[in-house]
Amino acid sequence: MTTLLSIPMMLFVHDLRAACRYPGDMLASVMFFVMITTLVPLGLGPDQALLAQIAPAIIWIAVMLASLPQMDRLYTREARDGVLEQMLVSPAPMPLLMLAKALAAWVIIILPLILSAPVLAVMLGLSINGLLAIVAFLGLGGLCLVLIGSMAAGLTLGSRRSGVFIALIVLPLAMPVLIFGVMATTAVLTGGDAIGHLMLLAALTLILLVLAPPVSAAAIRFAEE
Amino acid sequence: MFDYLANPTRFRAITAVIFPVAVAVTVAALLYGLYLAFFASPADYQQGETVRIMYIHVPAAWMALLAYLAMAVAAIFYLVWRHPLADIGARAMAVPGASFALITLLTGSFWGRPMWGTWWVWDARLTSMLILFFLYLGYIALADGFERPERGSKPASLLLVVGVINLPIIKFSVDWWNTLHQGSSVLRFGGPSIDPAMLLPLLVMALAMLGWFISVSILRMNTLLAQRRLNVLEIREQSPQRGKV
Repeated sequence: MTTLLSIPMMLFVHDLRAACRYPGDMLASVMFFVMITTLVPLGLGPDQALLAQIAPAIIWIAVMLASLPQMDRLYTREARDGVLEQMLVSPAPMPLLMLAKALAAWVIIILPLILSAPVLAVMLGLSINGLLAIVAFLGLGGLCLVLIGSMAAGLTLGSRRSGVFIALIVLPLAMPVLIFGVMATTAVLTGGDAIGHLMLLAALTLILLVLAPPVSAAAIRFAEE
Repeated sequence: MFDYLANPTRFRAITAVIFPVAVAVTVAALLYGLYLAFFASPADYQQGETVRIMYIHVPAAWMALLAYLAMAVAAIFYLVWRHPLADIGARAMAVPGASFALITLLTGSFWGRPMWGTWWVWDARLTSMLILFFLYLGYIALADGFERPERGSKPASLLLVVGVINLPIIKFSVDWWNTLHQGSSVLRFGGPSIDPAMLLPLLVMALAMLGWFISVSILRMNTLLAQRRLNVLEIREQSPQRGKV
């Protein structure tokens, strides 16, 4: 029982500490996120009303795009220095280890984006309500993105193409996340009922929590064979 | 039974019988179906002659979905029983399946121009077909994305399984998204509500496309099998020379 939970916990903590050693990586993806969001008003024009209307969509899409480059490198270092092999022979079940890594990736990749989202939301003219909604829903939707990303990172491990390649796999699977997330946020902004959208987003998260860890575990087993 | 079919030599012998039959069915159904679609079926009272696009559009949409499901079944067979032939089947069906999705999108666009006044409407059905097309592209990219072709087989098969689990979710989310954005302005053909004079050409065209899909998939499977053998032979030929160096 102790190894069942302690090894994934150790892995989680280790990943966080490793990420803290390279804060530049986190900062780079936050900057990328800010850049994407800045491009939209520049392309669209400074119409505040229009921007406020499409702000949820801009922020959600920017989070999806900004998290992609990091998803791509989710397991590459571990594959190079043999950590993945050690994970496969560890007494803890591989899917649980993958879940720990996905949760760590949520903290490393998604959390900095969520923390910088309110600033962008204010710049795009969102209300306080919308701001809180965006932060809360991005937390949940970001977990979906990370889980999808962990599957895709496992599946593409060792492929000769990377970078844009992972987008081809992640983005179609992540489209429902975008739909439910943006609709829930928009519902809060327009005073509508967000509960329905939110429950669907939560249901999707639960499905992915069950589906993604075994899939990425199997994908890594194939890659290490 | 699957073990019996899984032997490549036996597979070739069986498909040598199925292939001509499939081609014959395709040609016959295509000629008869096109005749029905263009001459023997009535024009729609609302849509006029453009309704004839449906005889390509709808069967292609069915086939795009069917091909993806067939690929997912093949992928499960490959992952469970590890037989290369199931993987070759999934790979062989990918490009024809993707082209069916593309045909559906293009004909939908041609149909949308006179009916809705634009080339593209973000209608729920068209949008989910577009995402299905993206899923096909993702599979093709992943299956061919590795130095050794065989290395891509397992990840790509796994992606198919994930994709087929996600397909209903995607379909539902897109319906959810669209119905709340705009009312359904789309002319819908429910299966049973369609006139028999239109149903017959539709089914005949579906048969033609199924026949085409089966014959092309068999051709591609045999090509892929030959390619694999060629690879093996090349490696065998090169290996002693490599040993000397």
